Amino acid sequence: MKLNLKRVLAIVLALAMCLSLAACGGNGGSEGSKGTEGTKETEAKPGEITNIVMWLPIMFDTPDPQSIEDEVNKYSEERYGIHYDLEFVPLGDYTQKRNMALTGDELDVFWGGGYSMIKNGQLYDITELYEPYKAQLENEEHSEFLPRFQANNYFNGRLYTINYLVDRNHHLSFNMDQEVADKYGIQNMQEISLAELEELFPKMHEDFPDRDVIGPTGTTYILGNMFWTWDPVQDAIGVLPNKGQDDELVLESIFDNEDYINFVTKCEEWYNKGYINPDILSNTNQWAVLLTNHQICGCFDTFGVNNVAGSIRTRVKEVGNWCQSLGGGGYSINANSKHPEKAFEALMLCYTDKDIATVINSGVEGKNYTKNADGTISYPGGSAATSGYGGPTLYWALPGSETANLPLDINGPTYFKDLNDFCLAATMSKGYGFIFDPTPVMDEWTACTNVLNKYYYAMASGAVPVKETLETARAEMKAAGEDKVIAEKQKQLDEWLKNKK
Amino acid sequence: MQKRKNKNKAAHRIMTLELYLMMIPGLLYLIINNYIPMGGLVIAFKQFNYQQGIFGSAWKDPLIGNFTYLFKTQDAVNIIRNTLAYNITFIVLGQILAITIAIMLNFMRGTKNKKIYQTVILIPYLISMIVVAYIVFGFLSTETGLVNKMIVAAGGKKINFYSTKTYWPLIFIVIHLWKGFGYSSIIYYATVIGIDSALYEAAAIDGANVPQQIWHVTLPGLKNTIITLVLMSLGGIMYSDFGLFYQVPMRSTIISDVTDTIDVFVFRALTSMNDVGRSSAAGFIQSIVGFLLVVSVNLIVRKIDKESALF
Amino acid sequence: MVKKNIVGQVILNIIFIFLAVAALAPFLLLVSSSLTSEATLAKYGYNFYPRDFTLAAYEYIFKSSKLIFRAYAITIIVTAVGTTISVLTTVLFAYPLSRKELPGRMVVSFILFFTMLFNGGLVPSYIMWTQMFHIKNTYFALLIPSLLMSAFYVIMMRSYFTANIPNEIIEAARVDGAREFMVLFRIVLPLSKPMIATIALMIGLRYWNDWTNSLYYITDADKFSVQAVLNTMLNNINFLAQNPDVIADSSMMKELPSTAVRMGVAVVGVLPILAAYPFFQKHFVKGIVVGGIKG
Repeated sequence: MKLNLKRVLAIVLALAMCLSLAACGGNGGSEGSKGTEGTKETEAKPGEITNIVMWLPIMFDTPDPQSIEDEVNKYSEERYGIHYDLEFVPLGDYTQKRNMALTGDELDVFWGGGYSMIKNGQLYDITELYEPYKAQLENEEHSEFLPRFQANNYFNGRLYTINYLVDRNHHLSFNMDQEVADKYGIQNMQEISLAELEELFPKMHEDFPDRDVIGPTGTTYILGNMFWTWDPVQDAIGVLPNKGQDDELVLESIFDNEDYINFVTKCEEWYNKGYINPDILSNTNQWAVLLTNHQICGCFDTFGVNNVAGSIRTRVKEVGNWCQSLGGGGYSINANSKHPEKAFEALMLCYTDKDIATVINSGVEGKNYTKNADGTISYPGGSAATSGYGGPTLYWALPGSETANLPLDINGPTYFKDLNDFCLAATMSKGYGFIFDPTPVMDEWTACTNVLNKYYYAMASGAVPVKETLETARAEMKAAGEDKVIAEKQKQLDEWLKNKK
Repeated sequence: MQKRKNKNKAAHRIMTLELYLMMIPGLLYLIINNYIPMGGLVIAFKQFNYQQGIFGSAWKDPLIGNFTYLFKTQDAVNIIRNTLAYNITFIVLGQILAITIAIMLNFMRGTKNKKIYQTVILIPYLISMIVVAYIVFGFLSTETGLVNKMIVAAGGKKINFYSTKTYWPLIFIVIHLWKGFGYSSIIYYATVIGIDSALYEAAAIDGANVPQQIWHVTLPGLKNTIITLVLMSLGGIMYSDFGLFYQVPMRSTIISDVTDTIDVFVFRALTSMNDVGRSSAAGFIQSIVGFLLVVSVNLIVRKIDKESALF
Repeated sequence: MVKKNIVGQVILNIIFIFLAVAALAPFLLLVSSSLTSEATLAKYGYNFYPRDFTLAAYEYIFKSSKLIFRAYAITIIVTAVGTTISVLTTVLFAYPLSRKELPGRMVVSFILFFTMLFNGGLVPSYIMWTQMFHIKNTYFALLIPSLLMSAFYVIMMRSYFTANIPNEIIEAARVDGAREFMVLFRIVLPLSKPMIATIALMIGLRYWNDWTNSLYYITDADKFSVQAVLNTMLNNINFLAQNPDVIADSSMMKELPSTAVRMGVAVVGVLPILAAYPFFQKHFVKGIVVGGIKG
């Protein structure tokens, strides 16, 4: 190839042109510095269609996303003048992609919320926008879970996120392999106490020697979601004992909480007796896989109304059905959105318009799902991975599932109603709705989180010596400034309680 | 005389122009990709707000507020010690291994064999660290791990690696070397085969045997490359291979005193809070320390041998 | 003398066989576990041969993503184009820096090296690329950000030029009236084949392995690279592992990917590179020293 000056210059110039083409249309480095005063909303003239970008989480292959988008726009453009621009983003990447995208205005409606996003200025304040919908949604006809759980999306009296139907409260179950349950005559959904379980463990150990009696639920620890009777108040630095039901809400260190200490002591006992897999600290398998492969007899798991085929649920008496003080969760509007009011309307349509809710939650009828006589739906091909969408399996992350009310065949026709009732039956911690703002003690909070990560879960694996580790943990938490954090948290909690009345 | 001088000057000027012309694409890229975003370093001193953007966000009060979390924890000593100790060990051992491999390959006869070996030793580099973590688990697991099987076969007691701190420095060193030796030897190999064979012949004629040839011909030929590579590695002295230190211990946090580096600590601390300012502050410190270290060492190198200095 | 050589060669070969085994063994572990059934893996751990042969993991991978074939195509093209442009840019930048007679050489070297040390961070880069240059969901996003030219390779190339290209050759060419571009392409580059092959390989690997550009700048599934697809798969698996209550229903249970899948994912990402590597090796041959210099 003959290379001479002219050719090389040509290549270089072409390169430079490429780069500048890529930069063309650049708006001169505005760097996202938008003013916060003044309306961002441009009044949409009648007949004009607003484009709203909505990011939905997916887990399965969605080869034809355009068809779902077209289907929902069939209704929304004509009725409301809204064009949904749906982006289907894989679950595992969702948070990272979303956080980056929120620096600009490329998305309007998304899954996520919570205190840190409020503090970062990522969420649009929707308090006034939500008022007109309150009456419509927060009543028996629609569903009652919203008024119950919305409290955790308010901060300083302002609302930022709308909940969707999912069980934020839990039962604690000791799941059992069907075989194991049959052997001892345990019924599905039977109430069982810890003492009764402890009688069964040695029997299981003997009768099923090639299985671990207690399997890991959270990969490296055996207590699902660390859910017992202490209310972690979002971060487990300063917790409320007794499910937050005390008359006076006094925070204490998790490593001083009686129930925690008792439970982890038991964990160590169980580990030493051989009930727990010695490799638990490096486990990467999910409990459901282990259970279906008959490698474990059971595990401690939180649940709402769902179940895994081939196993049964029991309800641990000591825990019951209760809800911790959670911080935020649902769907929110991008604070940098070009059309925040229309975006909120687009979100609310998932709750109020049955047709839109149906498409968002299930996809295109006939293509992604088929309706059954009893009110449930089925996947063509029998599996979410081949359905082309898989939305129904992700009902716990999509808005308006109760409006669409199309549960999967394996979950049963009354699934969403049952879920709603389950949510209503929860004992709510008295601290529910309190959101802790760690900004005044941020450094100590970070240091405490670090200590917590080291010991909190590890002790619930049974593989570490509890007595010594508790001592170490307490000492390190103190050195990290736990007292300061708890004092600040208590102060904020007391103030919030005062204002609530 | 004047005419020739002018001619030389003109030629020099044209040459300079042409050389700078060559560098235009690269310079453009550096400015766009690296220097413009560098302005974003101010985030380390600000309370970043997504609505106000980089330049609209308020300054942090106190100005270094985003930095304190790195030092307030008693783990600060741990993470800094871990990062530096591992990096220095990796640099020293890594280069020695890579150089040795490159030299051995150079002296080997038989092109077919050479090619096969070169391909095979590159394989570890291509496997992503997450997968390496699983492979390591296959070796170190208590129940089914190969290492423990061997220990038991030899009559010893099983070791629970994922809850014991003592072995991890060694484990990390072995993994790092295993993963990188094929790849790093490539650069040295390319340089080694560029050494003029006449030099070897001359040395052989002077009666040098193979080790002497290596000492007197090969190593001096590699001197510049070694210094350059070491200098560049020093710039990253405060950074670490996140995959290695976060994934390989399989998230077992009980051993974090010896497995946590700065990057892992920052990631753990900031995942929940999503605090852009604080993570930017961590990067800032890592850069400054690396920068100061490289500049100082480079100055020393310049005094000894100007050719090898980076700048 | 001959005897000594043979002994030396034998020792060398033994050492390398050992190294090759050390490098290969874990890879074999990887491949064999990707071909083993999930139940066997959990019970018996990894083994060097599949105890219970099954292609289930690969079925899952290729079923999960009809896009994976398209992703392969995209990755191959992006890698080829990106590597070419990048090597060209690198060489064009390194050659002037290797010329001592270039005024301002030290300044430019510093400007170059400084970029290795200081980084504005992800957020400012993202804001710039998406708001100033609008590369979101374009192929530029796969080619340019942080990949197009790396100071590391420029410095490697510059060192090579300095150490291995005698000044006399270049001076001779200049005296004969050659322009700098000609000197570079006609004389210097042919002498630098080993190093060029080296950085081409390394840059190629960087393009092939990159998934962060896809993660941040691409949301259109039809522009995903292979590593992006595979990484997403792994992220999904991790998400489920860390949110155990999410998988607690029968519908989700059926869809869970297994450990074997994770291994299979790795194999799928690595094999094409191994296939392409021998192609680069052709150039790791001793360069021809141009005669007429010594004496």
